[in-house]
Amino acid sequence: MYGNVKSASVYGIEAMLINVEADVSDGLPLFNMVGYLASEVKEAKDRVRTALKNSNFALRPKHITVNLSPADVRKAGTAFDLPIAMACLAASEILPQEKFDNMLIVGELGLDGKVNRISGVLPICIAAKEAGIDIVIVPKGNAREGAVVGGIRVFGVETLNELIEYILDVRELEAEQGMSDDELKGSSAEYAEDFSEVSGQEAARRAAEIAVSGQHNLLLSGPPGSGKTMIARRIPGIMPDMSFEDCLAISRIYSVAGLLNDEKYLITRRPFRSPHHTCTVTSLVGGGATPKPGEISLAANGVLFLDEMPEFGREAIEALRQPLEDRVVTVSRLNASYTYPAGFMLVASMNPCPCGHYPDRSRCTCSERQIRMYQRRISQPVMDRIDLCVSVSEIRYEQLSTPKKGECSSAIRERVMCAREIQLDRYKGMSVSFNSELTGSMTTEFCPLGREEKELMEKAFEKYALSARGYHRLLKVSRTIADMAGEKDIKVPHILEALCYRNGDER
Amino acid sequence: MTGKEYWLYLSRVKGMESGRRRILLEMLGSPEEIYKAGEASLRSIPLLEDFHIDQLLNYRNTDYEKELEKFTKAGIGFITVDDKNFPDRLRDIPDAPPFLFYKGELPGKDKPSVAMVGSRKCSIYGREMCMKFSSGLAEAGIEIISGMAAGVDGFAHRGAIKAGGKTFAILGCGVDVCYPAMNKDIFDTLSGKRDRISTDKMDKDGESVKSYGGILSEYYPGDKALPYNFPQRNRIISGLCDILLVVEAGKKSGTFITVDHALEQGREIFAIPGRIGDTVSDGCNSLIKNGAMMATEPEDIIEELKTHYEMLLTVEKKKKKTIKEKLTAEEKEVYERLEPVPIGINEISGLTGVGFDRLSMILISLELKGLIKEAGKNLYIRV
Repeated sequence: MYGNVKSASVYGIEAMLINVEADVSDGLPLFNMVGYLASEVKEAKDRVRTALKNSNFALRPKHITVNLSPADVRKAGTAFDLPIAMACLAASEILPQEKFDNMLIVGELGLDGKVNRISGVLPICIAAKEAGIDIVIVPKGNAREGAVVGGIRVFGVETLNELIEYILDVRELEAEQGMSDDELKGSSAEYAEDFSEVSGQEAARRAAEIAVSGQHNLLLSGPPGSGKTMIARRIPGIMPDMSFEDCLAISRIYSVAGLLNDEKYLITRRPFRSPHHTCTVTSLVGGGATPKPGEISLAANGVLFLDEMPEFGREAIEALRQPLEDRVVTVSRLNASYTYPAGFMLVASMNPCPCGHYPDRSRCTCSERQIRMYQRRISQPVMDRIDLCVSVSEIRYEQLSTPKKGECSSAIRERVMCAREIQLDRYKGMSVSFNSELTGSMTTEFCPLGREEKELMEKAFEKYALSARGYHRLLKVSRTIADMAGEKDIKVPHILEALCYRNGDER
Repeated sequence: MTGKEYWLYLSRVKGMESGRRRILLEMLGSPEEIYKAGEASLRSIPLLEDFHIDQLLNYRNTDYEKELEKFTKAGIGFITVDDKNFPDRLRDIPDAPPFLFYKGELPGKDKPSVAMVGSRKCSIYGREMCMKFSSGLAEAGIEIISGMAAGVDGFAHRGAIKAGGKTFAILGCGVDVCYPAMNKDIFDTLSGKRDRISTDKMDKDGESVKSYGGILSEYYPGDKALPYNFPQRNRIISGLCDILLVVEAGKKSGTFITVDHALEQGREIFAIPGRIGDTVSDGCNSLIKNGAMMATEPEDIIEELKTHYEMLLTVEKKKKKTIKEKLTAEEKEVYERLEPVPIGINEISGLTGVGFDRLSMILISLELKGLIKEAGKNLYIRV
């Protein structure tokens, strides 16, 4: 007898439909599984057999063969337990096969027949919808996450018995409700932190606004305790709200990483990821024996904050070069290569020297060599990808005792949205959407300079010994400042301000 | 062997401080006699350790004529007290070095010279003052002597080179050893290899057309920079100058070894004052309190030297910089708030009440006009 149930597995952030076939025939009692399986999938055999027994459905002592097709794609994860159990029951003629025709099943089984949470339900549901499948059965714990995808019916099950009874039509299940429009609207992100809590620090505030407006990467440098982290944390709050598609795209990454739960089943806030400086290359860019998205993918559409950047391992920092350029990261493994999104904004912070007090020499005890070594720990190629660099100064007592409330995040966000609008309009139908992404030839096209501006650029080029890259960075930042001011052309004041944020090595 | 070669033989002995060398010379007479002395007579000299005697005996097998040739090829000169070009200032100081190795040039015969010393960990204020004084003095034709160490020393050399003057680095290692490595730019420029500091033209082999001075040392080429060499070389720094200028030094700075040498040698001491309470300037301030001359501009030192050097008489006191460009009211306000001690951009904004987007613009335009300078990231000083 033959049974066949649809299931799915996640590759990268995409899901692929997998056909779970079972055959029960006469012969020596045997449970055999084939189809290029990872060991956790092979172990499903024991979980399925025991879970069925504890749900009062003992498999008969027959020759059972299970195949997961396409058989040339490696299968990993524990999502196949439930479909295998169903396929076996269908093949044993306990359940009617035709019930499974328009149904996709995923879920992990406990020995007692409980259905446990899995990761990657969101991309699986999206794949089901694209394949035209109507019903998706997922573990109860993943139901809300799956229901976010409209146009399909998602049922959450808690036990194996619940599903069997549902298939046998002796129990009704309620389809999980998708998000209502109200919920979607209400989701327009609220952030716990607001820019109004930052007192003073005008330079850093302004730089953050420019950085977000043009999607530039930002470096904050200053002594410990001056509020670098505080400012960085508030940057997602001044980014425009994400569209539903963007939310879905990010939630997908979080789903694969197993970071979604019942309360947080759709990511509506711009992510803020702040990996510790001891993190490995793999945890930063993604990868591993069974590839998982790294911090840079989890920060997609949001902020990746590298606190104390020079303390990070050199390899980890260098690994950022390609994703910073391409906005995606590709992890290659023997059997496949996975591409994860990496469209994050990099915000880095650093102390000016190992002790943090330079140039206050009455407190800084570092030698010139140490200071130089420290500042050089971030390599030039990485520095070249950071458009804005600003120093954050120490907080003085007056600022603490009489805190002057700064502008709140929502007001800044309004302006950011205007500036982004202008850019999206200008780059319509092109491969870029923000000023920071302009290539060399594009800068000449979109950042035309008048006579006066050209003279200034020439003067600055000589005075500050700019490199070609530095020149282009300067143009891009000037372009953003001009956009913020609503100007069509870059003017002298815009270039002057942009010069303030350049990150040349000082001598 | 010539007299020079005997001196070269003697200079090769490691761990032979000037005091020990003096006693050896007093007892045996001349380097030639030391070269020819038997082992027994060497052993009879107090203060000579076994390793000195071993070296004195072993080094006799070398052909010093060839050794000298080798040095000449490598651009290293060797000069002894017997030579009339030997710096006269060094002839009459206590424990004077009887010989010097050098690259580039030797200090000029009748040129005024100022030694600039200070902390290896100098502040931005110290750095700016150091550059200001060294370039100001070098422009007037005064030679700048220093030790090519990190911090003040390095900036003293750089300032003089940028001004197109002459500067001399006294090392605590062989003249072919660059220590610290971070000062390779100075080392190369002074040894005449490559001009990496000033923007003067180079010839087609990349060699500097102009000479900016030289590197001097009493240590044999190839000798490593050993910690106890440095206090010793300080006596040459102070010995070579007319005036010792302490740029920036804390209370317990090694700079005071040089100051002590200078006092012993009868050199004038000048110090640049710092703010009261600034630990990096404590040493300078207490020097002034104890009678050192205070220098607030290069002219203070030039005036002092005028009595001894006719060439300086023609140097005119620089007119106070007048601001040619017209400044806007805001620019003027910002400019007037700045001082030689760096102020952060946030602080300027707080002091003047100028909003940040305007302020950054004003600062850059003032900087492009050459009135102020960004001394560190977003830190500004008045030029």
